[in-house]
Amino acid sequence: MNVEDDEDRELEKLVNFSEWYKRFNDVRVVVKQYFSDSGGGGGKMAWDLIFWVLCFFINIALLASSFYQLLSLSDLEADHLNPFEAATRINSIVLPEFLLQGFFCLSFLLTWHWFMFISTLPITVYHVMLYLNRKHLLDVTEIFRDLNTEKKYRFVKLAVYLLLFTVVLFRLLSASIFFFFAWKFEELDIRTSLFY
Amino acid sequence: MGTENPGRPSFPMRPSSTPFASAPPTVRPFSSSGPAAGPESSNFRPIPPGAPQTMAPFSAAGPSPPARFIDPSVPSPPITSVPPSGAPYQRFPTPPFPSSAQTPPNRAPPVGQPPFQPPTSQVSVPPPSFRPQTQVPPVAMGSPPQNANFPPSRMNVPQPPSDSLLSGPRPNFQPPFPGYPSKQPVVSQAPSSFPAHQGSFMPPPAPPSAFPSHQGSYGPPPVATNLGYQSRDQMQHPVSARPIGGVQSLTEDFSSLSVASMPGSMEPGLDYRALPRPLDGDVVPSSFLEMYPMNCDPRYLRLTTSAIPNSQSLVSRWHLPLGAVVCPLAEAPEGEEVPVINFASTGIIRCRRCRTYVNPYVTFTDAGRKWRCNICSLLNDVPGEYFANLDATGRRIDLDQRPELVKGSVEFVAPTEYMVRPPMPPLYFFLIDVSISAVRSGMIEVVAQTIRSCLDELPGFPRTQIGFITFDSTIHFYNMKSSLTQPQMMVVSDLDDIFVPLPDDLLVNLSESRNVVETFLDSLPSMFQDNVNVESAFGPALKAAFMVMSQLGGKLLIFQNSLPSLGVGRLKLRGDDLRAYGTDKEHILRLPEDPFYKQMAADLTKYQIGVNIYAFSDKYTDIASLGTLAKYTGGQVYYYPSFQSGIHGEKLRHELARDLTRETAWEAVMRIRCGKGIRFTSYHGNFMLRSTDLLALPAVDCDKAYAMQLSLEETLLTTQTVYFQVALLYTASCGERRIRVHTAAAPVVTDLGEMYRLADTGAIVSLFCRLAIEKTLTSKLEDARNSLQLRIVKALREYRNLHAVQHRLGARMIYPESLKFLCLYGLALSKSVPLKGGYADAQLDERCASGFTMMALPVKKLLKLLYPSLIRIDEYLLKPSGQADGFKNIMKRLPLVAESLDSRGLYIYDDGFHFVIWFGRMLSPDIAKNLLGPEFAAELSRVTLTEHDNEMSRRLMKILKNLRESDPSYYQLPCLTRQAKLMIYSSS
Repeated sequence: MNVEDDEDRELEKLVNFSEWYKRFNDVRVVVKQYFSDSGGGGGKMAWDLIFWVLCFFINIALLASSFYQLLSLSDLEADHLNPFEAATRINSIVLPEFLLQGFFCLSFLLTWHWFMFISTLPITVYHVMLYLNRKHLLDVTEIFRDLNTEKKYRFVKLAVYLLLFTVVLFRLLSASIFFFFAWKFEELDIRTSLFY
Repeated sequence: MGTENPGRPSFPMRPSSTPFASAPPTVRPFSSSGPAAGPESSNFRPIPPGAPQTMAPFSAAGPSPPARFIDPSVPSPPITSVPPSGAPYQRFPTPPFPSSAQTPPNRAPPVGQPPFQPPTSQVSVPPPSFRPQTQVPPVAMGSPPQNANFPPSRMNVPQPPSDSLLSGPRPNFQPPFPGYPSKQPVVSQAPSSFPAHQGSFMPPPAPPSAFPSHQGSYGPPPVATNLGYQSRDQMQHPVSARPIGGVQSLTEDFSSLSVASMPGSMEPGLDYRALPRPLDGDVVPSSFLEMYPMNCDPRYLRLTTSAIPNSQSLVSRWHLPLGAVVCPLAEAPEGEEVPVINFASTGIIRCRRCRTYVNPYVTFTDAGRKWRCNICSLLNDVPGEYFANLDATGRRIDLDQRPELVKGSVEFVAPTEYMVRPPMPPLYFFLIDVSISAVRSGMIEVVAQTIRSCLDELPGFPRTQIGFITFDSTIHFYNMKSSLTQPQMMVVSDLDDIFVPLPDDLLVNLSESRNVVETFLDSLPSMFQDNVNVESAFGPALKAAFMVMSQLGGKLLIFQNSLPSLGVGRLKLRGDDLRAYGTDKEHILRLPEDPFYKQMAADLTKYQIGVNIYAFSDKYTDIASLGTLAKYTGGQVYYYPSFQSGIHGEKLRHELARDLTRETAWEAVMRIRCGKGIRFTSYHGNFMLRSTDLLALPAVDCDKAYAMQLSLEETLLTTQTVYFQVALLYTASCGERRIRVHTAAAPVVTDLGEMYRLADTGAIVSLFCRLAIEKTLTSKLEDARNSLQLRIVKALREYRNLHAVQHRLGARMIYPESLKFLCLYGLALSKSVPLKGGYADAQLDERCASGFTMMALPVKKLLKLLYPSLIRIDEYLLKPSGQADGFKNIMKRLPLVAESLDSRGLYIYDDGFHFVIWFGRMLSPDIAKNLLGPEFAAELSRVTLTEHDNEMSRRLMKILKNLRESDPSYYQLPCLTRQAKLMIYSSS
């Protein structure tokens, strides 16, 4: 073994590496490859599935909370509920909803689901704004004056949550399909083309 | 420049005619000529307000031509030369101007002269064809400055209202009418006399063609108009052969005002005397009440316009608020008390579907077995005990024994279905600050004395309950058990976890524990006289009071002397932040700082506790936060800045006594129902909404009014009339549960002009006031004022557009007679304490306190506050005692202008909350000496007015007493001021 040999060998390694490397045209793919290589395709997909199941339930919780608030407001309007009770009911779930929604949004950011993150961001920002202005709770004394705005605001939120829900549902389905039937169409990764 | 109030009943005037700004005096003359008007209106009444004719914008204004023609005495058009006496035939205004245009210059009488005598008996009307010719420059007296360059003579051209019909001759007159301006009064008189007619009759607009054959002959124009007027009068009251001093029959139906120089004077500017001024205070439009005699009295319910628009598009063109101001418990004068009806076993008769109470407007059908609800038109069965036969006209035969079927306001005794618990006893609870500032100001002493003196008069003996808590940095409870001889004081110093040391005996029956209560009140001032505690644990004390009271509810009177500084609900000094003004953060200063207060207010309301706040501090106390408690519990805020018992004691004594002894309705709820197609959408005042249309009022009394706005639910109302019903369910102090019901009807109209004609300035201003004050809670003061102005401007512009088609209005401002004070009140409103200026113009606390007060004021008091009365009294004081009887005579209100003040005079300015007694600089020193005693030369702001032993002083005191008695809800403290070089408005 002489120096040249060593150098050749090093060079060869380098060449080999660069050839290997060329197969990945960006860092993202490198990372991805690394994970799928080390953790195995199944493991990654399992995490994916778990994540989407979690999102699914969070989303359902958000939907339910909005819906419940809307229901309380319409009950109030129809005089089935007095303002004190309505305000207590709604105010008690406002903060949990905000926290949950914040977590929902944050989890998309941490898992690099840009599309989902962007689509949940407006509501999060609005929530933060409300909270900072101390306007997140219903004012029981002026509840009837604000009734229409509050209802509208919750309607919009409900609609956004519903939209998110369809997306999450779709992602959940695709995740489970890939998890359970991954061996059937390994080369056909529609997720990549659609969402990354 | 002058105000014109041509008579309502008018034919469409041509624009040119508007120029007649009537001379200022005109307004008054009007009223004098009034007599004729009243009867007339009644004649026309038969025409239903909602009648189709009303549609024409102008129709409502004047007597309808058709109506005139109906008069048999009036032959068809060609009516000519009729001597004035021949009233019947004079139907038509004599031709104002000879067609020949040879008007003698001197026709116009000197200014201020009464109506003319018609010189000639021959009156003929120029043919309508003349109209086009009229080219009188729009410049009349009131021409805008631009027009000022016209030769003065021209400006004077009189254009009698009749012109509209017979305009032809006019051009001729232009040159020579020096005297005209003076004429104006006559012209303008016509309108004022007519206001009453408004709404009563609504003739269709009279097209000029209606009188085709009138050949104008001659007769001085003024005469002609008078003639016309007179003839009409006569026609309606054949008997009254008045001298031809009548009013013009053909006048415009709007008033107008323009800013320009008077013809005589070269100096441009506005003549203050020309502006309309509400010197009679609040005048409730009476025509409406005549139209629906079974309506409740306007003191209980006033609509902003008594003509309800029938379509959305009409609503959107009515830029003023559309709604009502309700004062459900207004004090009724002797003899007009609301009748109390006990249905006993029958149960209260109500509509099955809409729950409307039986009222004068329900109709009985089916031989008396059914009744039709006037609000939802449902046919209901008449219960057996309530059955009565109908007479031939379909009226119940027992009508005279059923006040609920005749009167708009009744009170039903409510059976147990209307109670969720046994009726509560009247309950007064006092929460008194005893920190050092309260002791020093003498507040505690005055309060204790006043409460003690009122013990006998508290309503609801023998059930009345009473209790006390005092607080500084700790909370003191008092056990007043009747078996004790001395009250026991218990001190709780744990502010974080408030508890009530005794389960009961903190709240005791007054008649049982009378002695203990009296002992307590006697010793209260001395108990704390050495207190040096500066802290105020207001929040915890409030919670404690809430805990004590929550079983029963009642009235909580809070006497607060400093900024709450301990425990929950402590507040910060935030009122002196100059920089916040003019920014988006400005309104936050006027909102409660701590959500504790809103939450507390909601809880208090829930448990039927009404809060009245008495605040005394000389420093910032955050009334915005404290007042919130009163706002949502139907209470009110009394604010005595820098209270000193020596100066303000009397005011506090009176107002507290009034608060304790006035008739109060407990645990009340109020709802206003209205016919199908319209809906009340927002409510304004001091209360909390329990559901969309139910006002929760834990304690309500005669000094509280509530405003509400309505909107149309359907695009088109098909009914002719809509009904409103206010129902207040409350517990009377005597322990009876009662329902007070006020019912009113209002016509539905299709015409915007009609809405203007039936508008009620008082109610509009009241609603505007509440809207503007609410706006200050969400935006800048300036925005609130601007939006107020904008709405008034829009409304007047809309009115102008309504008339601009027929008239050339030039640059004149026109306004309906019914809204002649709207601009003035609008201005007064934007200068009122809650809205005026910026940081420096009013203390924040004062601003908030008067905001809370004005949100609850009844219409009449509000208008007085906005436009206070000014009375000159020195002449009265100097009169020899023999003639000094006529108190009424001196009560002549002066316009609030600098010119009203004579430096030799003595004036009282009374806004219902304060007196300002103004000493002119040149006032005879005798008067001052007599009134003020030896201190008369001292600085007046330090002198208090006391009675001295001389006739003059006694008389002044009597005047003040009389003024105060005219409205006992507040006590006006006299504030003396001397005319200075620079006059300063003093608002003590």
